[in-house]
Amino acid sequence: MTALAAFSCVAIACALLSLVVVTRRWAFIGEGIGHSGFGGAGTAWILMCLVPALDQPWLPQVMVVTFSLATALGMGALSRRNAVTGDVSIGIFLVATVAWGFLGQRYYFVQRHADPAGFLTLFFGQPETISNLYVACSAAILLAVVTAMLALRKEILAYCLDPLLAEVSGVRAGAIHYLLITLIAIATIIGMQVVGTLLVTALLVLPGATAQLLSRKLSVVSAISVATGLFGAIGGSSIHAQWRAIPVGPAFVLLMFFAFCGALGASRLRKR
Amino acid sequence: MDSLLDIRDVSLSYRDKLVLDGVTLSVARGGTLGMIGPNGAGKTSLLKIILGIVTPTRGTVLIDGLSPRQATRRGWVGYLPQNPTIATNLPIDTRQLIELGMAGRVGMLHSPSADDGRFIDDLIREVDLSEQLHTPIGELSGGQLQRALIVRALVSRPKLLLLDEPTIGIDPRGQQEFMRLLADLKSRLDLTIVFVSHDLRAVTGISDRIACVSKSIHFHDVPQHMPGELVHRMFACDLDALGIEGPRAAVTPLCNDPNCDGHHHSSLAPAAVGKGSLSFESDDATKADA
Repeated sequence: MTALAAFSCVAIACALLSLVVVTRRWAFIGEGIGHSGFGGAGTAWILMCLVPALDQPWLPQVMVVTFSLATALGMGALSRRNAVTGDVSIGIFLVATVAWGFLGQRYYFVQRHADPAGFLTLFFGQPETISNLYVACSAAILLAVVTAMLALRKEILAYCLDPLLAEVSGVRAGAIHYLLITLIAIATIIGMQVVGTLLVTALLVLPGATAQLLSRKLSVVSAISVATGLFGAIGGSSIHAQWRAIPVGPAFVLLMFFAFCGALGASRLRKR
Repeated sequence: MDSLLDIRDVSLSYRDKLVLDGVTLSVARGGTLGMIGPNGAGKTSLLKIILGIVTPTRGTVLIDGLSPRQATRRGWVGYLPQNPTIATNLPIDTRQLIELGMAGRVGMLHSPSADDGRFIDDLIREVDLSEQLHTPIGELSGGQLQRALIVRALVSRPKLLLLDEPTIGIDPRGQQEFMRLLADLKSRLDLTIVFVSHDLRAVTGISDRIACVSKSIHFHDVPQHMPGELVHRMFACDLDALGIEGPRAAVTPLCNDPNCDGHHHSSLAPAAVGKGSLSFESDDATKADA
């Protein structure tokens, strides 16, 4: 039940942010942030070999969080300054951090003749080992997202509509940009524990994309988005509880994908 | 002259490229400045400087005594961008789109006041969008969306309205309606307008002064004093693109004055543009048209 509560918090937070991700066409950003965590883990594995005192189980986690946040802010800064387009900046950081992560893994393997602990779980998630700290973090990110969405509703909507027009309307578009990027980065980092770096983008894309197929009213779209996220979280956990061989992460993502396909079919039927 | 907008010796460079060079302009309170110039002349960059989005390399801009950023934060500046890239997939309706024009000034957790609400309702009626009030923005036509964005630019009761190519992509009838609407809003809301356009008919129809910009200011005066030769220099590329050959020879300003020598009445609004010919009609005729 604790794990389910944590998954639900992550699902709701990601579903609310999903509206921003889909509207601003930031689908690729979750991918970039998620994969940059692998670069952080690679750094940790190299440090663990070079400095034995740092060979601690918490180091990869700290480095994953640090790298993911730094990458998110770096991508945000590059795209905001228009130095390169948003998708190019994400692509650049994504490949560089993944390459660095593999380098770290290879270095660790050569030094220790074994893969680093948690190498595969980084890709596929580790929902079975949910700690109390993780539950608290999930609740905290949900609280942060809901608070930001309620308190800055107009500003966030104005930014999503058009950052330039928002700025001219007196909105501090730069602050909103970095706030959203940071929230997405934290939600991605927490979501990675459930579904892994490979699938974490799904939490940020599928709920919003599904909801936008079914309605054009903000309150309804938000509700459908949250419902889709919860459907994935609760359904995925239930399937895993029933059939242990099916992992939570892929079940979570596939259920949301089926919901998206259903919404697509319904919207096609409605248009006829 | 009581000027609302004062631009003094503004220059702008991107890396090594000089975009604007020593631009000095002023716009009288309640006046309309039409800004014309060829592509890449720096018109949109100048608008972005006035909005405080871009900082000039040199020079100052004052809007009623305040810096552009201060003026923007106070809602003194309304802006309709060229080809607005708004996210029409955002699930909001026309009314919400318009109200977002006050997003930065209403304050967190607050909605527009009852007075603001009445003002917005009046504007919506004026631009004839009452029936589309609850239409999702993704379902608005191009013309409806443009009218909604005009209202959005006006909801903060700005002193200065900046329009960047507002008639682009609109059919001639729609352009005429837009110009009529703009003239109504201007007189009703006591607006000062800066109107950037390639459309000479539109610019001369609404402006009481015209500035030709091509890195620097080549002309800044009433439209009637604008030499036709300058227009052809400014728009040579556009005329070529339209397939108009020998434009200089084809300039035949039409004027109701039988004594007209063709120089004093060169407001130069193209009345008909076709392959191989270009004619202009008089300023009075253009204004009546608009």
